Amino acid sequence: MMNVSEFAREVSVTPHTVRYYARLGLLKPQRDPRSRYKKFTESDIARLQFIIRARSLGFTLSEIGEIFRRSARRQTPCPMVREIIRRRIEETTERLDAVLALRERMKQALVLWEKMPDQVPDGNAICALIEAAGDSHDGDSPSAGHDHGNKGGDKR
Amino acid sequence: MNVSELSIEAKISPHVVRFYARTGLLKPNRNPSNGYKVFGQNEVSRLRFIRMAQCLSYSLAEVAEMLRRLEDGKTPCHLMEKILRERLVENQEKIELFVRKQALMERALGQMEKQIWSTSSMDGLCDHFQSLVEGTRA
Repeated sequence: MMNVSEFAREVSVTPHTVRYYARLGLLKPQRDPRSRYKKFTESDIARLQFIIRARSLGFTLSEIGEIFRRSARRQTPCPMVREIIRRRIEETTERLDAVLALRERMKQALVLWEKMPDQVPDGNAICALIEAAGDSHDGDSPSAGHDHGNKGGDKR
Repeated sequence: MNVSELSIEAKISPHVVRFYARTGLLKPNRNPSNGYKVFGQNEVSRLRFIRMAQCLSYSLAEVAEMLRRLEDGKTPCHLMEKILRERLVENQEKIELFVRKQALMERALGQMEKQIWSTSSMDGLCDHFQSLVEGTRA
């Protein structure tokens, strides 16, 4: 039996993470009858390792909770897991396409800007600069810059 | 132009036009008779600048800074280029991250799909679940 900090060290996560997962019900430590402290066993290690692995595959904590609930009801979670992974692959493909398209736009803008001499700073010159970049990908939604970025917790 | 005319011209929602005006990115004049916002050609150019900058991943705060420089008669070109080069590096990191993630997920999925056909080899993710189920039962 391990307490929170021993357990956290064993699996190389922070005690904060352990407590958080326990609060969400993803880990179910026993309680020391006298001190009421959380006590973890080997099976909690397996659970936590599973959580970490599932996280790295892009599973959300609530999906992981659902997998645990199904397992507890002795249903196989495999079809659900496959479905989630398939969905994540699609989402990642979309996000990948978006960042690849953004890279193209940025590169084109840099190329165009390098061709332009430094101009007298008036509004029109700057607009010409930006418009030159704009003309090279007509038809693109101007709101595209909004869409990628924030969703994945990227900072702006 | 009023808000709705500008929004039609620029193909964006009137909410966005008002939002830009509220945050000072656009600086419309006021119609003296009714107090409505009036946008001139300069605001149309500013709006085009804002949308294009966003499309190139500049944040609105960065756009505001560039517009301030322009108003002060300075060129924002160097700043814009510097930011864009930084963004390109971040962008490259993101691409690599997504590619790695994708490979990881596809491998996991492949492992799981193989297990439909094989009952003897019990490795991979699905098996990990299985052992976990046993663990919770114990």
